[in-house]
Amino acid sequence: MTGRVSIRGLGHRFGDLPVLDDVDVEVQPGEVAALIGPTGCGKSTILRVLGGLLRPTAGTAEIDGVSVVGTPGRAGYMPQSDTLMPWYRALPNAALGAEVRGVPAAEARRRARALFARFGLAGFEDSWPSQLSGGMRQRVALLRTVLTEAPVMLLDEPFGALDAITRGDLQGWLAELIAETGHTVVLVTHDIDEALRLGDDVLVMSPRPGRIVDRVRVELPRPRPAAALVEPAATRLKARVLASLDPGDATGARPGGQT
Amino acid sequence: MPPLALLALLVAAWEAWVRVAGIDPSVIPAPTRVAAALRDQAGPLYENSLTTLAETLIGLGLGAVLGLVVAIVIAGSRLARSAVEPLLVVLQTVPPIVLAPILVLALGFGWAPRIAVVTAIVFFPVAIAAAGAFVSADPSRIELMRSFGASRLDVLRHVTLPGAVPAIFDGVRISAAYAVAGAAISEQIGGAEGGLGLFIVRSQRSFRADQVVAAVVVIAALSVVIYAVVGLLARKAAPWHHIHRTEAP
Ligand SMILES: Nc1ncnc2c1ncn2[C@@H]1O[C@H](COP(=O)(O)OP(=O)(O)O)[C@@H](O)[C@H]1O
Ligand SMILES: [Mg+2]
Repeated sequence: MTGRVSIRGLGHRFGDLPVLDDVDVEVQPGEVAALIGPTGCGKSTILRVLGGLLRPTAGTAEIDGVSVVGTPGRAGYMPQSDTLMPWYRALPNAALGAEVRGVPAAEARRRARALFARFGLAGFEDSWPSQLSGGMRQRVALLRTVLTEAPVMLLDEPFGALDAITRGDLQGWLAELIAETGHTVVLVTHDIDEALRLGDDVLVMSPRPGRIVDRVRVELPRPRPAAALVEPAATRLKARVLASLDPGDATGARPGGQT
Repeated sequence: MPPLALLALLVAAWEAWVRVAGIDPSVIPAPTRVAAALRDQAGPLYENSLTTLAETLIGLGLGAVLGLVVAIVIAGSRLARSAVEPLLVVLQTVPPIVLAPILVLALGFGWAPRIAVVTAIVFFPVAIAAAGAFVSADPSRIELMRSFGASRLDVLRHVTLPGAVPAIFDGVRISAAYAVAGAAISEQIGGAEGGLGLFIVRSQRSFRADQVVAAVVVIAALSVVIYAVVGLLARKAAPWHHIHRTEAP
């Protein structure tokens, strides 16, 4: 199994603004690392570095021992905003990543079609993105990411824009999917439940400039339905993540920022 | 339909005014005379409008393609953009018709100057609309494409170009309204052997105001039809732009 992610001493500043400071992340092949932290702490920036989209000002980022800095296309990246192409129907949208990576269009669409039902999208192949619900759009975007066939998936708040019930359903569904496909996943979230349901590790970040302030190993048995999060073992982990997120120092002020 | 009713009312008022005031029909013809001229001159009007239509359509096509190419160049290079865009903005304020005499000098008395006028009419709105749409392409979509390892051509093909289609068609549609008149007016300036503009000139020389107005009516009708057809093509080319949001569960 491939897909080992290794980030060492990662630092980044946008001009004068320090965004990341000495971040280390190790993700074993087939595991899920959930990055959680306040808005603006640099979570998306970490994913963009791993996607080869942004050169960090310090540190290294590798997949399977090879640097990804400046070389996009090595990981399947699902950005935070809804980036389906409005001019393509659902099926060609799902096939787009594979197509751009060199799979012939017809073959890419065949592969996409074969997975539509698994992604709960059967019957919506010819729908326009604007005709899909938010949850379906995110599943099309996830299918697009899976079809790039990169062993590592970078998911940036995949369910952030959805209502709580839909989000809960999709978290369970995504956990199952990842278990099936064996992807290594770096998942950015600001939802503690999402981190605990999906993560093998939860990496808690400080406000900007983001540092990893805590690493929580989640040994809860899988599958982890939403109800499992009220078990004592889970609530203990939750309390620890909460405490790490907000160490309760007197300032209480958290720099805001765009997500 | 209110607009048709209003049009009928205006035509009726015109007819009544010409008759009541006893205006010389070689100065202002009554609508009934214009209608008669449309009928009597149907053959020549038809033949001349084919000429004008051909000039218009060729010019529309050339102008749209040239505008698109220039927009792609502008969007692809910061230097090209900083050099070309200000010129575009200034030049578009020059009505292309004004250029017609120069174009006749430069391009001779064939079809070329007339097609060039229409091309210029279409070129500027399309270039400016397309360049605007290219530049405002969603950066997160472009970044997504880069994450797949996309080339600039991939980005153009899957993001910038499709996203600009509605703006491009808007540019063509707006200019289509002027394109027919532009072709006709340039026919009057130099060397045309046919066309509605030439028909108008000949009718003026023989004091046939009814025929002049009949030709103007044909020009207006052609403009409306082209405008509508471009609108239909736009819907075909960008169906996603025209669907109504119907949320699925
Ligand atoms: N391209 C950029 N230029 C300047 N500042 C940026 C840019 N991208 C992000 N930032 C800033 O960097 C900080 C971290 O951003 P981001 O990684 O998106 O945070 P998060 O995803 O954790 O909310 C924010 O303050 C944001 O405003
Ligand atoms: Mg973010």
